[in-house]
Amino acid sequence: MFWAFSIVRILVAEIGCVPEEKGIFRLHLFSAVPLALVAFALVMSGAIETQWPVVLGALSVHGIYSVSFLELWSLSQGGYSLSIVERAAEAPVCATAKACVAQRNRRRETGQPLGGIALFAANRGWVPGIVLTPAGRLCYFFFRAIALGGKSAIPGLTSIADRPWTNRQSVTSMPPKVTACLFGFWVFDRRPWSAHVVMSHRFIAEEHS
Amino acid sequence: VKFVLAGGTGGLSLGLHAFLRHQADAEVASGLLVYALACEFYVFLFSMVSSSIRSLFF
Repeated sequence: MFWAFSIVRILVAEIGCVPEEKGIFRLHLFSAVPLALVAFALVMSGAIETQWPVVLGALSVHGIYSVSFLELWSLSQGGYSLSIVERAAEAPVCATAKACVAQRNRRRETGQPLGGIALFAANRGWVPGIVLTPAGRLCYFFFRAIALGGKSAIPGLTSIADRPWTNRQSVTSMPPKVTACLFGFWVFDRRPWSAHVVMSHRFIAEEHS
Repeated sequence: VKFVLAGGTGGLSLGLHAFLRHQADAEVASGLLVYALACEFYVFLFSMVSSSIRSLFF
């Protein structure tokens, strides 16, 4: 699941919704604080007959979701998953993928993320030394389909201008599908750090020296 | 694994105790959710500490 989470992180960053930790923290903060304030105001004003246990339960559910999300985010940052993909992004891509190469160069010049292209190239076997396992390939296709909404058969080949929700300065401009994807993270199981390392080796990518 | 055993036992005990006292109502659910949040926060802090550079020195 950490590999799946890493893929989602890359793809979310690829379309420019929540590229940094600051953005993801704001996403949770801006939803938790209004929820608490509105619930507190409604109960105190007597506008609705909501009991305090219900408010407390709702805030707890939000807290569980947020903490789980941030935990997975942090562990995927420190795990092997992202470092392997970063290495793939820096690796030379074979000449058969002309469009991929052109897109990669164009994105590198403009400073845009390369993770999606790296995953795409690794999935096609175009990155020397790195290839996705069947489980990793399945995760890649599944989450890419959710994140990109089927807009692009090859990540990065659709122009950024074709995605009106792309706005790196705002966390409120997320497309509905990505929002649904993010809110689905909380169901992922949590594993300790050691298991994460094992899972990374098992499911993510096989490195050929 | 130790925390799963301890936390699970605590959660089952809390749930059983609350259910016997209040049946299945909002207070029971809220109490269990708060307990789950506390467990989650503990796991989060434990994971962060164990994977940080500070754990190499202590």
